[in-house]
This record gives sequence, structure tokens and C-alpha cells, in this order.
Amino acid sequence: MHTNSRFETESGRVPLFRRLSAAPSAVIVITGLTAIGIGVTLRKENLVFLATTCVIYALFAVSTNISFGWAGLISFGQAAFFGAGGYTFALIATYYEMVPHVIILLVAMLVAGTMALLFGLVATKLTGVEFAMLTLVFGQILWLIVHRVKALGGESGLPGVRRGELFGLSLSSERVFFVASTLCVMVSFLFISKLRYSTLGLSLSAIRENPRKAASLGISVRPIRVLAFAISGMFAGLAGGLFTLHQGIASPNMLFWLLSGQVIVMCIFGGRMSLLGPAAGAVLMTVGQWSLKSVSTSSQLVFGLLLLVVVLMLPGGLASAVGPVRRALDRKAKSVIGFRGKDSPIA
Amino acid sequence: MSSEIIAAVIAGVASGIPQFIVASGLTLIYGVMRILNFAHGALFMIGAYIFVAISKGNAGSFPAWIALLIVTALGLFVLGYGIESTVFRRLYEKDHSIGLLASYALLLALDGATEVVWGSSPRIQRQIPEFKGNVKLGDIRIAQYDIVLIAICGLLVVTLSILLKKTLLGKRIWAVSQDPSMSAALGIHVRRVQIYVFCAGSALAGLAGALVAPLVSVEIGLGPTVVAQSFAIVIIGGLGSIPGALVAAILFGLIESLAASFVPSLAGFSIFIGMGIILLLRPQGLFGNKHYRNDPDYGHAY
Repeated sequence: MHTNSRFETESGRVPLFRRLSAAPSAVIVITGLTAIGIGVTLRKENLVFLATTCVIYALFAVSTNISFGWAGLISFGQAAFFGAGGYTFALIATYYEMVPHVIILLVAMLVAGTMALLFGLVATKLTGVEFAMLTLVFGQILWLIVHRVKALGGESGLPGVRRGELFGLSLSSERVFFVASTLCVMVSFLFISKLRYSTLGLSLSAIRENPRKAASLGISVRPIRVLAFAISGMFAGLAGGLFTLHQGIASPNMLFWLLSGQVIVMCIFGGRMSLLGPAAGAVLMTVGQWSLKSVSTSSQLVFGLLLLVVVLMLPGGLASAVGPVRRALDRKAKSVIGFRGKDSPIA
Repeated sequence: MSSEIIAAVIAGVASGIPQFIVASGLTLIYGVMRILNFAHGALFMIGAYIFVAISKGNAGSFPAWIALLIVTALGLFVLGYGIESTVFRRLYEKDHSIGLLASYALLLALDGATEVVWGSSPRIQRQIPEFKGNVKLGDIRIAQYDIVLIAICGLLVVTLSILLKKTLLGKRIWAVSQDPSMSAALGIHVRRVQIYVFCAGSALAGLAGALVAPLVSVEIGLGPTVVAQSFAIVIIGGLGSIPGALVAAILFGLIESLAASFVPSLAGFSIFIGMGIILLLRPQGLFGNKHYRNDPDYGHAY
């Protein structure tokens, strides 16, 4: 049997779950198509709207995790790139109505990515908490600029972004928009998952675990950190652009540090060591906050307490619960049919 | 002109003082527990709310004001004990990111709880008559409350430095912040020290909230803003250093106040610009020690 050496077990037996995790692109495509299936069959428009929000936040969280989870750089300025993408999108879409959305999204990615690159060049001089604080500084300065500059709409932001149409289909239909944005996010995830097991992605893990050893192995620590930060900012910009298109407004809140904090929480909650854990964290947190808002007036209290319980019970995030469950399932499969894989040395 | 500058300087120093009180609690807790506590902002806010709620928006007289301050600080001391023994106790052995996440969750929960108890509309605290108005020294006008704030700060600095430098408890706190397991081996009750420090830090946050209450409109959004600024101050002063927090807070109060009166377009920015510059030039903070953290990779970007 062909197996991927990264996921080979000691016994040589490869359970279904591992075979799937050896092929993250398959998981992404299957999950994406399932999500589209579920989203399209949702009856209420506002639920489709919520689903789209989830998908966009999932992209934001996974992009943040490139710098946070893979490289171990805690950034409290990630919202600045999200906002930069959003404002770029809003500005171009209002002043040049003829430009197709896809191109504006690419420009938004480019702007956010360039900002992240320039900023990363300076900020990677520091590490750890100091790095986090410097990113906070950067984010807050941008937030204040957006507040002060008249051309950017100040406190009220830039409203009135029209959805327009894509390949002749009107995007103002929630369902069409949902499908389009899910496809967009899916493509980004495919790209990011390729990146995860590329030389770049693996060097990032090495740097996170031990920068000194990584440097001694010939990995250029600082340039790679900068690159990771830039790629992370680029996809955050894409998420921001989609968000603006979805909400029809770019607002200063998109740049506030609380959003950066929130997206980091999504990553930790979902499991920052896993590729798609942050996406799961983002979806669960968005849905959780929304549903709590509709059942209780003190949603924030309940949400905070729930989050606290999860953090204390499952410190590795939701993705860390997968391992024990998988092992339990494996055990059960064995005990039921006495199954041993045919490559197992005992069989 | 010069009197204007002096007035702005004094107002600036005074405006940094509540920030210092919040940050000193934060830095004390970080020093002993190594947790950057997001929930500290919520404790500050709750302090302000308790003060407003008990005084019903108007403390009335000076003795009542003093009593209210003490009650607020005590209330937060008790709340701190509750939080420490339910949540933070479980975090000491764990990874830093867990501490960060748990304290963020706590910030949300406490914000939510405040909204449930006191509602979401902002509240106003009236200044007591003794502290209204200005004092005139020659042609310099100083707000009376600013003088009160500076006096309280002086009192606090003296108390804290005696407590930390001269008493046995202070020496124990120092020992635990240096090396908890060694301190335990030497017979120091580490848990008790942790509890004291956390409760004292919370009380300081509450005190700062009560002091700020007459100056701002007391509302739910207070926590996150204040905690972001306090993090900035703690980092700039040097993590774990109380004198550092004092200098950084006053410096920022000053810069903000001078910027507000002479370069209004920079107001609000200056704290972040200054923080950026200091971080790049002296990442361990003004009073921080590079070797404080026992981390061989610290400060190396490779």
C-alpha cells in the first residue's frame, strides 16, 4: 500500500483517519463541498448570511494561524491587515465601479500583504511578547489613522459597497454569495495546505520549536519569519475584502485589536497545531456567539464562561480531542471484528 | 507660555497616575505568576462600577469618598480571591498561551456579568465638592483632583516600596517571582504568596477604577481599552518592574497631555509611537533586565 511517510504508524497499518489527514486537500474539498451543500439547503436567508460570515472568519483564522500557529509569532495586529484588505476593497469598489470583484480582491490581498511584509521587516527584530506588543502598536496606529482621516470615513467607515455580480449571477442573493465565497476560501485553503508541508511550512515549525537549532541547520530564521508574516497578512487581507463585500461596509472596528485577540482565540480554541483546527474554531465561535445572542440577553457572560471551561478542560484546543476519540474508535474497531491491518507485523 | 507648559505637565503627570495603578497590579501579577492577565481591565471597570453604584453617582463628602475608595478596593480584593481560586490556580503549570486565552475568556465573562448586573447604559460619577475647581499658583492653574491623584500616587509608591523591600512578605514575593520551586523548598508557602499578590493586584485595579470614575463615563467598553494601554506601559517599563511602570505611565501621561495641548493631531497616537520606538531601541523595557527571563533565546532574532 502506498503510504505517506509522514503519517506512517509504527505497525505500518494506516487507519482511515490518518489516510485522510495525509491528504489535507481531499479533506478541504470534501468539507468545502459539504459546507456548500448545507449552506444552500438552509431555509432562512439570515442563516445563509451567518454561514458566509463563518466561512470568511474561517479564512481569517487559518491565515492568522500561519504566523501564530506555524511560526509561533503572536500578533495582535492581524486585524490591521484584515481591515486594510477591507478598506482597499471598499475604496476601489466605490471609485472604480467597473473593476471586477476578483481583481479588487487580488489588489486587496496585495496591499495587505505588502503592508505585512514591510511591517514584518521591522517587527521581526523582536520576538515573543515584545513582538506581540509591537504588532499591537502597529494595529492601533492604523486604527487611529482610519478614525482620523476624512477620506476613510472616520468613525462610520465606508458604507455602500455594492455586491454586483459574478459571471452573470447577482451576488446580492445570499446563496450565490455563500457559494462564491466558500469556493474562494476553499481555493485559499488548498494553497495554504500545500504551503504547510512545503519546505517553508516545515522550516516554520522548526523555527517555532527551536530558533537556535533551526538557524544552525541553515534555515534563515528572520527572512522566513517575515515571509510567513507577509503571507499571513495577505490572506487576512483577502478575508477582509470578502468581509467588506459581504457586509457592504468597511468599518474601523475591523482594525481594532479586540478582533485580533478574537481571531487568536479562535486559533487556540480550534487547535493551533492543526491545519484546519482554526477554521473549526472560527466556525464554532461565530455560530456559538450568534446562537447565544438569540437565546439569552447575557450572551457574553455565557460565552466567556463556556470558553473558559473549554480552555481549562482541553488546553490543546478542539483538535486535541480528535486524538483520544480516534484511538477509542480504533480500539472499538479492533475489539468488534478482531481486525488487524494486513501490513501489521503480527498478522 | 511657560505657565501653560507647566500646567500641561502637571495635568499630564496626573493623567498617567490611574494608568500606573492599573499597570502596577498587572506587573506585580506578571512577576509572580508569569501570566499577562487580560481580565485586569475588567477588574478596573468593575471597580469603577462598584464605586458608582455604592455612591449612587455622588460620594458627597471627603470622608465618604475615602470610605468608598477603601470599600471598592476591598471588594475587588475579595473578587480577586474568587477568581484566583477558581481559574488562575489551574493555569500556573500550563503553557503561556493557555493563560492568555483563559484570561481573555475571563475578560469576556466579567464584561458580560457587569452588563447583566448594571445594564449597558453608561453612568456618570459626580466629583465631590472638595475636589472641584482649580488651585492657582501664580498664573499656573492646576485642577484640584490632579493634586489628589498625585498625592495618592505618592502614598501608594511609598506603601508598595516599603511592603516589597522592607517586609518579610515582600521578600517572599521577590523569592517566588525569581524561582517558585526553590522558594517552596526553602519553606515559603508559594500558594499563599500567589493568592496575596493576585488579590492585591485586583484591589489596585479596583482602586484605579474608582479614581477614574469621576473623570470618564463609566461603561462596558472601558476594560479592553485600559488593558491595552496598561500592557503597553508594563512592557515599556520592563515586565515585572514597578518603578518602570511608574516612569512609563507618567511619561505617557506627559506625552499625551503635551501632544493634546500643542500638537492636537498627534493626540492618541503618541503613546503608541513612543511605545514602538522604545520597543525597537530597548526591547526589554526601560527598567527591564535582559537576563531577567532565564531564556537563552530571548532577544535574539537570528
